[in-house]
Amino acid sequence: MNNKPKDYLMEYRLKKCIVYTLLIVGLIITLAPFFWMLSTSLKTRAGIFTMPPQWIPDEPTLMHYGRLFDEVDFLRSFLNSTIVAISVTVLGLFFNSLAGYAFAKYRFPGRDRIFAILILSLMVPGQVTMMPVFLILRSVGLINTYLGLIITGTISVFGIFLVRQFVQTIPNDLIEAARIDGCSEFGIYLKVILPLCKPVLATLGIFTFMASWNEFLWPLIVMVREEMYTLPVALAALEGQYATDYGLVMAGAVVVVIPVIIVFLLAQKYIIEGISTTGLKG
Amino acid sequence: MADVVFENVSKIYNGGVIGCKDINLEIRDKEFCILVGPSGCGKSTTLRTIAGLEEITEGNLKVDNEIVNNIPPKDRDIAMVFQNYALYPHMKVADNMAFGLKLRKYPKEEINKRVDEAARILGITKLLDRRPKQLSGGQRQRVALGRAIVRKPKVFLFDEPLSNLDAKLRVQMRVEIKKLSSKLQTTMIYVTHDQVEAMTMGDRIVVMKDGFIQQVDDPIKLYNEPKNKFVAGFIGSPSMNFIDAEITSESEKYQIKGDSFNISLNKKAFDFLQKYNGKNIIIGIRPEDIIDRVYAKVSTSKNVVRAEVITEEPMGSENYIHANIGSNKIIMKTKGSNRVSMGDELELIFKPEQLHFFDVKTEERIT
Repeated sequence: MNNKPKDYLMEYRLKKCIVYTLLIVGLIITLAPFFWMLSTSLKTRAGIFTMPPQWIPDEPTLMHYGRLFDEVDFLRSFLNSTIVAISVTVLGLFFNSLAGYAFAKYRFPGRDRIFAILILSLMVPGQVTMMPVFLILRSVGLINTYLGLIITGTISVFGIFLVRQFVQTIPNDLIEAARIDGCSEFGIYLKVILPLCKPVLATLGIFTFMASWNEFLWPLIVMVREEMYTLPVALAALEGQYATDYGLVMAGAVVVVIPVIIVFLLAQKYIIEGISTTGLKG
Repeated sequence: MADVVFENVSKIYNGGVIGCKDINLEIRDKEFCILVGPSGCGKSTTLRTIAGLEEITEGNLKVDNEIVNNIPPKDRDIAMVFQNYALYPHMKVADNMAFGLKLRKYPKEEINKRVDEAARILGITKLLDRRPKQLSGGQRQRVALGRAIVRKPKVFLFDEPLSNLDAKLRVQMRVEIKKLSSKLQTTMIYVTHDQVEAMTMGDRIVVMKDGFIQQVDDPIKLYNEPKNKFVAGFIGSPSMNFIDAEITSESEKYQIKGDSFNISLNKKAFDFLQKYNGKNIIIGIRPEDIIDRVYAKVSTSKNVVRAEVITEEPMGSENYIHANIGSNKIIMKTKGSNRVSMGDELELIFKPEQLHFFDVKTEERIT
């Protein structure tokens, strides 16, 4: 026998090598801007413009971070963002899951029609409704308030839809068993539906938090006074009209990004679980 | 402990679909009552009206002498076991069982006592810390039973609880549920489509079809005196054989004439057939009431029915023989040793005292 048997192990290893190389390249491309941001935020003013550019600063400094809190009130913005994002997330999870559960499991007149109209509203671009909503907020005196941002950000049709699809996969028998066991209708939602919805709520929670944290245009319109700025608005305000203080902007960007990364790391297990189960179980 | 009384209860769904209609039924205290019928006969609907999961369109439903039409499920003091167990996946077994008690604000010691006791009865003490996902079908069923038992309800409802189990486990659980019912001494209402479950477990059986009650009786009476052709065919396995025939009268005897046989019956014993003299009827005979003439105790050449074997189903202890009598197909049950092959000619005898007669039009039993 001259023909050598095919070396499957070798082939398998080679394939793995190729896959990992591609993944590593992708990782570098993705991480590079973040690394550049971090690096720039730690450079001195002179270091920022050194040629050739330095990946790792010669003389790292926390100067820009200090200025962030001394020269501009970034702490206040951080607080504003936190209050708004957490409120929107918590209230949003509550109301959207409540509505999603109702649409999934209760029979009431016009249910499917109302739901269709809600879905249709997803087609309307946010920019179209911005001015009318702003006018309404102004007429009720909610400009420059947390509440103005919170109530407009809480209800999300996408969230309702996501929860509804998930709840539909929960057997009716469970709900009926709880009803016989002595649960009130709200008790069923609280003690049976909510715990079972954990994966989808984790996904929705992270999406909502990130969307609210990163939102720029709407807070820019609603929050006129500087002390009410959220982080992205404050960050944008750091850029001067003629010259940009790159060190300061990058330090600001790092501060904005860190909470998002933390939230993501904490919840990534649920996000993946949520995305895969919402698709498959339905 | 309570009796459950239906007074002209109907459930009509939106769009006029009948769930169940004109149900009049009195389920006595501590009785094990079985609702049985084919799919879509309204047995589950009837059960769900007792639970309060379906609203009643007409009539009154009384539990323990109290009209419960508008009482929500949680205040009816009933417990229900579902076909797919309906255990809460996010709770441990012990919490699943305790859930109903916690909601009713029982003291903690009482809850623990009841859960432990129920777990002991059902043999699931070791499973209390597991989650439903980690249990087999039979274990889940036990937990579902446990969840009902701890509540000590007035009435237990079972909605096809054994349908998702494999055949062997089903037989085992059947016996256990029956034992449980005599131990707990509580009214139990049990829905099934399996007539074997109905026959073996129930004190009384309610046979339903198309939303209506067909017959309510104890198992043996139901088997021996089915009120109509549907009940006769539904109860018993293999089913009762039905053969078209005509009755004529001859001095001392009635002649039952089929398309290929002729049986004469004593007029005195069958005097109820008089009004059908000269008319077509349906005769019914159970598979075990047909005997091969060779095995008959008293050999007789009278009333012999000729049949041709189509096939046989040997069960070991018994043998089911499928045969043609003229244009009618029948099944007979014989001893396992009695083997036949296709095309064999048989000479059969119908036990005359075991013959059933049904009206051709109404399909009601003739008595």
